[in-house]
Amino acid sequence: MIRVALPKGRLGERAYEALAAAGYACPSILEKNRKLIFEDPDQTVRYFWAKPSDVSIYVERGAADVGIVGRDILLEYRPEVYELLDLKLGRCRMCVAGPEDFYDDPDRLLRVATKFPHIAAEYYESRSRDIDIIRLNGSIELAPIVGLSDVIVDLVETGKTLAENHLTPLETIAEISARFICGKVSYKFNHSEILRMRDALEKNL
Amino acid sequence: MGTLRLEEQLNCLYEGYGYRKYRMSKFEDYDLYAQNRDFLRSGQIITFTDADGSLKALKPDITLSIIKSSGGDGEKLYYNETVYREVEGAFKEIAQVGVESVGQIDAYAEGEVIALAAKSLSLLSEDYVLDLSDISLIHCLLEGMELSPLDREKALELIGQKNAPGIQAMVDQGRLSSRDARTLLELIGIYAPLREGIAQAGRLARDERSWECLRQLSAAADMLEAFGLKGRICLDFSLVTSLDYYSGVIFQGFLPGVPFPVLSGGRYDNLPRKMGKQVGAIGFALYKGLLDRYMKQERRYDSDLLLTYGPDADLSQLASFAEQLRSGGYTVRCERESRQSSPVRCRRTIRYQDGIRPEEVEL
Repeated sequence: MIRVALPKGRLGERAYEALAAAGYACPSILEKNRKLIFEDPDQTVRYFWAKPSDVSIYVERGAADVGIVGRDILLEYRPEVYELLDLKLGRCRMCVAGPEDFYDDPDRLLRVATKFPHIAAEYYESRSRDIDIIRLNGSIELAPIVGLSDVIVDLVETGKTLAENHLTPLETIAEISARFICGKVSYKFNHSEILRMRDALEKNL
Repeated sequence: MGTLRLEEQLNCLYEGYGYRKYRMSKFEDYDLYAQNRDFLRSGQIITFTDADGSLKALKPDITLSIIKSSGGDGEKLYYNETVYREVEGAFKEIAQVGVESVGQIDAYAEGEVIALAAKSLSLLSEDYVLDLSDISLIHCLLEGMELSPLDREKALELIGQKNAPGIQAMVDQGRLSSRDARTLLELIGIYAPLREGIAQAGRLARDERSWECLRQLSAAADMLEAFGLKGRICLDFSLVTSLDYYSGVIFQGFLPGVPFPVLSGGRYDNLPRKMGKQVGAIGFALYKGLLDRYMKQERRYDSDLLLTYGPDADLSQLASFAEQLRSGGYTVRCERESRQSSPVRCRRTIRYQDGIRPEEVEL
């Protein structure tokens, strides 16, 4: 049996649809109840939902063999996993965003608000720019509006939320989409099962 | 399996191949680590000033000390020691068992150490996995691609993650040619028993040096078959660890139910050379702490029986009664009866009464 960690939310639901189409359907997962774990009747696959940023932890520590996770999580937390396939779902960009008329004054320390401190730090380090990272947990767009930060580093899908708040994407740090990952040790012990799932998913892309 | 028994089994195994036990002090001159930072996995070391004013360190690594103290030729050693390293922001005590072979490392010496790694794992589980890679071959392939140092580092990282989407992204960004991308994709796709894997890797070799690496791998495969390990070891090029430390064959061992490598080792000729010794070296370490954490049988009770007694009990009779039970193989804890419940968890609790016989206790 292959154990799959899915991220709660829309991305996870779409990832499940892709897995079902690839031959790993598990009808009980669609029932509205409080169950946490779902197995298909033939017991070839077991699914469970996890908080999106926790999926890679379950996979890294072997509680799940494979998982679906956004590339943003992989870039931020750098888990020890294999990144086997780009599912091309949930596409967006990791961006630096700020006021439409933003000017980066090189004499000032740049204040950056973000949920992704590692990604932000690495990006600015690669450009030798000193920054002050302000770690927030949500509503990042608020920070430059109320003067908490100069810019933000965040995921941008359509840019609508930014535009409504008179903010705009300034630089793209990375292209993001959902990835099919597997645990390095799980790969050793369930190599053929995991690759069969990857190949089935790849065929439908 | 008890830790003691495992330790003895491992000692027996290594001594069967003529390896000598190496004992050492927990302290080492700090200078050794300052001069060989590249060879340490983690940066932070616990240091202190010795009584004579010199700076000492608690050992973060055993291999450096072994190479430092080795006279030059033909050392085959094993050790069972504790090292002190920083793990995620805190210092940890890590128990290691390891084997090092220093000297003229030919195909036999190399095969012997890899075989000992496999045999160590087989003492822990029949279903062990031992994967092998060759750093020199990856070096050769990447050198042939003429990448910038930054892209080379990126390529290595992607190999370690078997990251096919990442390799494609490098092509899209113009940092890698599609031909080289195909090579890398094939390289990360290889996961097969040694012989089969070498044949697959043969399709990727473009120069004489790569062929030479493959010939050596093939010689290693011959040796491992001679050691009775045919088909037990897989080729996997995603095992890219610290490049400075290792210089040829590297390997990692895995056990079912343990989510991290339990064994790691390889060829590290660069270290003795850096210390001015014209020898080669190969070795591995088995992480005993991980085994304790994941493989120890769970205990459910502190002891089999909790024997309580009142103020009037005949204490010498109680003692001899408990002794009889213990000689029957049970663990027995005796406690004066009290109103507070005992903090221990026992399989059964009985109240001692004078005249009770061991046969009457059901355990």
